[in-house]
Amino acid sequence: MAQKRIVKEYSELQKKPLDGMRISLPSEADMHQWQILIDGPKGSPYEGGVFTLHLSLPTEYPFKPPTLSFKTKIYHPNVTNDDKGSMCLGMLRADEWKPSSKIEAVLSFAKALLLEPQPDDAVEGGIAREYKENKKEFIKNAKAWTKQYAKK
Amino acid sequence: MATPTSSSPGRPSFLQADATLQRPQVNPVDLRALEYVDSYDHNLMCAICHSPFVYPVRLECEHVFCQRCVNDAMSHQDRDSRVYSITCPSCRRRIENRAITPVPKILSHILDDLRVKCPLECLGCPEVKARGDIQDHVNKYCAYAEVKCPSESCLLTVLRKDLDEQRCLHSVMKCEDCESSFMERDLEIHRSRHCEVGKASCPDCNAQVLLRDLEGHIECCPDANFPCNAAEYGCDFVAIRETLDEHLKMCPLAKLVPFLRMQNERLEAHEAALKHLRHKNSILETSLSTIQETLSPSANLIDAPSSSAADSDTGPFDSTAHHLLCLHESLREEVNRVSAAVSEVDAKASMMVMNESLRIKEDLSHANAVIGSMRMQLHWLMSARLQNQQRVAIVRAQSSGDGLGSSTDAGGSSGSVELPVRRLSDSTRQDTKL
Ligand SMILES: [Zn+2]
Ligand SMILES: [Zn+2]
Ligand SMILES: [Zn+2]
Ligand SMILES: [Zn+2]
Ligand SMILES: [Zn+2]
Ligand SMILES: [Zn+2]
Ligand SMILES: [Zn+2]
Repeated sequence: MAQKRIVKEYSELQKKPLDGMRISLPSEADMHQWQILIDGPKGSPYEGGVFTLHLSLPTEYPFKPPTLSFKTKIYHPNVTNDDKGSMCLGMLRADEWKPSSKIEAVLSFAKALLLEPQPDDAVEGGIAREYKENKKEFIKNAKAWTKQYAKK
Repeated sequence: MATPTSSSPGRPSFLQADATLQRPQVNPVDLRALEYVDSYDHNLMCAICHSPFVYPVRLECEHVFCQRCVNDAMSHQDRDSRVYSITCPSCRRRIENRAITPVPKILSHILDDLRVKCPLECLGCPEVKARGDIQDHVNKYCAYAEVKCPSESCLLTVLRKDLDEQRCLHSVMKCEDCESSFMERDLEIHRSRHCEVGKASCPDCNAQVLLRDLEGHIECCPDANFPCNAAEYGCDFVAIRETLDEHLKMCPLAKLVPFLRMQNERLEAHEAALKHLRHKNSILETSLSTIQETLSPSANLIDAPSSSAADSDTGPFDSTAHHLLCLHESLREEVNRVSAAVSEVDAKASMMVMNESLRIKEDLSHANAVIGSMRMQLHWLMSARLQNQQRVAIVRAQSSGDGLGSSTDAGGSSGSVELPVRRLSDSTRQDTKL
């Protein structure tokens, strides 16, 4: 049942892709691992960069939330700076996940987060503080990282 | 699951036969795994399995899911919390377990009308059926469903279409070409789709190709004869590909093909839509008539609209929708009248109840007063008697206690008469308060 829903969601997203996002399967045989290329949204310090994300759907999907991680390094209060690049907030948290939420919503959520970080829910405290107290510096750093790691 | 395709030739390999024919589970058919032919309203889609609802149920928060999806969701929630409640998969509200209610019948009808492909399509069944009939199709009619082998002594199954052979198809046979062994019933599929050795010659160019590739070869064989594109519309020109291309440039019918095809498609779509609407209409009509039946006791109060409905039932009407609207309108009036009547009756009844209760209250207070005075009198009598007895016991010279103890009239004779009188007035004052 889950498999069928995943296939359906995947083909729907292929047919009607989200703006500035490209989705593919690293391995055709495994529908549970998706790769997403997302353009840094206009007006954000990530503009001009392309970020690779990894979406992993648990076997219990849709009853357990998918996990989303940045494979491209990104200067963002809600994404860990380690090589995992994991993020866990809002609708992705197990106790806030709704089985009726679609992957499309998850991806839109990630994009919205690039436009507007949530410093109160941060995993990188330093960046969050900088975002709140010294926005200029934050933008400068984020732009620099985008240039360095997320070049097209 | 995976079986070696290179199993040693000569040995009967039942496993291999199974692998070439993986059968979906059809007993019962998993309705959530079916492929739907019609596009359906997205509101009919279960938010959990993303299929049209299967046995839908409604939670207290009015969200609807398949029964099995709700069960699945429950089984994925925390062990201790799921005993009595479930978190709604759409709004995360806590829902008591028992607050799961069925949905209106009409929704199930709409869902059962959605057309699906037979789950055995992968084996070759071309049927498309209403979802509500698909289990029946598989159980009784599907040519690709498994039934018991007609041979009494054989316990295996055959496809229903092979029943006509009236004999056991389970004897092991060898493929003439590759020497692998198969049960007879699987041999044909092996030969036409899987055999890596068997060859056949193309009927047009006489080239030798693998049997399993023959179909593909004919598609692109340069010497194969093809009919004109407009064959179904009346052109009977047949030629090899090259000549055909020239013909197509001149054939007037071939030019019309896209147009004709479009027309055909439109006709078919209209027919399907008409059929669908007809069915929907009949469902609505039956539900309307049941509504009318339940309302019939009140119908003789207001026979005007119902008789007009009966008239339009017999007479021809330009559009069924109009007819339904009329029916709907008259029913709405009827309901309005009934509700007005009900509220009138309600008002009357509540007036009556109020009057009655006022009267009863008065009666009650009256009775209370009586009881109070009785209690006073009893008390007075008791105390008088007690006093009397004491007096009799201590002072025998006083007046005789017999008269005082036996009757209430005697109370007037002694000095203690003031006490009960005062109390009597007390109790009446209390009663008026009630
Ligand atoms: Zn469902
Ligand atoms: Zn709900
Ligand atoms: Zn069938
Ligand atoms: Zn048999
Ligand atoms: Zn063979
Ligand atoms: Zn040929
Ligand atoms: Zn022609």
